[in-house]
Amino acid sequence: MLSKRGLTLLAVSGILFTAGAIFGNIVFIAMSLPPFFLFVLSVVLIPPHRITGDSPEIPKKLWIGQEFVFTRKIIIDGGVGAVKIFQKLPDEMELLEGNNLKILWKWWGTETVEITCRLRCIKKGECAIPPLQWQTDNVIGTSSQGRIGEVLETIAWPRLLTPGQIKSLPSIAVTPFPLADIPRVGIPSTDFREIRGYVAGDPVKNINWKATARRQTNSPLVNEYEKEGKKAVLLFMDVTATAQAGNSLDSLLEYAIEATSNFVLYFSNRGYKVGLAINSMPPLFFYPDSGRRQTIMILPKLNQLKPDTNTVPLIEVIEAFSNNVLNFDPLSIIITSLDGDTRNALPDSLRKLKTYYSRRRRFPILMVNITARDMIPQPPDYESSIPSLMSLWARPRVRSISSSGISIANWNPKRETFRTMMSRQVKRR
Amino acid sequence: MKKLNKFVAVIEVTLIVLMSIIAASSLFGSSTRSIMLVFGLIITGVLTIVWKNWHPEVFSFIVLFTTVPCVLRHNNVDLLARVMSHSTVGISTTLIESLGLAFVTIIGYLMLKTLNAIQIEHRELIDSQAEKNEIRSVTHDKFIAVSILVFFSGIISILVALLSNSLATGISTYLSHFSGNIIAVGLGILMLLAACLYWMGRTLKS
Repeated sequence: MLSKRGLTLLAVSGILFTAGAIFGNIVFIAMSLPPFFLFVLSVVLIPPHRITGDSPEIPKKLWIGQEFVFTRKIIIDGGVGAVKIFQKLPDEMELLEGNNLKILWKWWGTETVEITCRLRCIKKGECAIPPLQWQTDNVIGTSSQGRIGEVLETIAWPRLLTPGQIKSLPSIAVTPFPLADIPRVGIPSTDFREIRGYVAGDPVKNINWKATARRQTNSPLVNEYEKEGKKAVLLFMDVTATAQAGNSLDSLLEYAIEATSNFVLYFSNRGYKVGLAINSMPPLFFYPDSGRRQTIMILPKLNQLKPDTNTVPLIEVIEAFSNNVLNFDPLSIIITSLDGDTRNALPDSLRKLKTYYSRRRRFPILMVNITARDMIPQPPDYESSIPSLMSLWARPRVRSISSSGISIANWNPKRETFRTMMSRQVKRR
Repeated sequence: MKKLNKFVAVIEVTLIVLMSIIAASSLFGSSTRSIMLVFGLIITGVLTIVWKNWHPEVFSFIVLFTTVPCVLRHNNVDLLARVMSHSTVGISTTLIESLGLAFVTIIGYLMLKTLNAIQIEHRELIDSQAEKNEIRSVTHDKFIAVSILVFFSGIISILVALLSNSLATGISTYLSHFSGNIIAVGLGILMLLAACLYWMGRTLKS
């Protein structure tokens, strides 16, 4: 494609030549030659156009916060000119080290360049690294462009705790946290739960011979049945409060999802019935159930949640879930933030939730308050005390909720991991 | 101004000064008016090209306009004979001197044009957060490539101008013997020109 600069050169040459022809002036005609020959030489020197590269492999599954190195090797051949290579990164990834833009001037011969970036996954969900884009320009701006490689797809999941990271012994807990509580697990009922691998000590009558024959495994498979008197945990995720803080790169909702996913996984692995209500639009309800099936059903849905200001009030979700609170007498965990704009609506929701429990000194309600103050970029000089002021501002509200018989777990994701916060909750007298 | 490539800016200023001196001296010779014009042209060039980073067409047109009285003295078709006979500006120069003046003006314009593009690209690259050493390397190499191309275009043009000047008389004398075939020769040259243009068009398309 002829560039604007090339056209200007031709136009200047044409005007001078015409002037020379009209006046019969050899000087004007001579003046018309350099722009013309510069144009011809620039046309002969085409920009680099044979650009090839490899398609690197990236992990198919990533955890939020996981870092990995992304390298692409590019071979540039043919032509002379400036080469600009750009690797666009998806919103879910943050560039930690290196540069995703490479520029160079290519003379004759073949050039090999490498783009190396250290990336970190910052948001959950499906993400795709698009093909590498290149653009080349010659001296007068004649350019060509193209793409290298294929779209590389991956899925980012919230950070999940591995089993056994938080251990507890049966005793009386300071907080109504069931993992430190004395469990009331009874005898197995006749309600089928799931099929799992045989473990030493399992009754022989529970072996599912048909399933074992069908799977053709070395160890037998056994049926597992629900146990009577199982404890339940109900989770209420407040999207309204958590969606408001943070930015496109670092959102409070991401941490809320991480907390919810970990609670689901943790209690499911320990045999609790886990239910979840999310006040998104439309609201999402997962009725209390136990086993891996429940985890498999909840986690992908959480992974698809996007920040949205259009939400349902938390109190409506609590009302809709009230039957489960009355039936199971569960531990209720509310994942929210007092730094959001819903701080006035939150006490009403908590008050409503308390009415479903019998009157006692301390309700089995835990509020996980995700603090956003450290997510605010530190402005210079006099504004740098904003995080401290936010902390002081939220303090009376925290005290008021705490004095009403509700346990509060403050989690500052910028200062501690979710595991640290959980460990703090299981301390005993 | 902050994102200016200093090396390119120095070259631009040098070219502006050189073009201004040559253009002014071609109009007024070595008089006081000439010095005033030099300063005026330098200020215009530095303000428009280096400071504001505008395209160099404005400055180059003023320079060309300044050299026109001197260049028009070599007209073969004397369309402006009446005007030029009363003209008090523009020193009389030989053809070679006028050609030198013309080449300095046009080569200066071409260099300013490409250097201006380099400055704009340099600024864009800084905005796109490319590595500083990469930007420096690309700007440097591009300047070398541009200089080589402009130099070769100038050399080819001088050769063509000198050759055509010396060959013109001989060819015209030779062609005068074939007065009946002059149309065929003209058509042949036109066809050759058309073929050249076609080839260039094909190359650009591909």
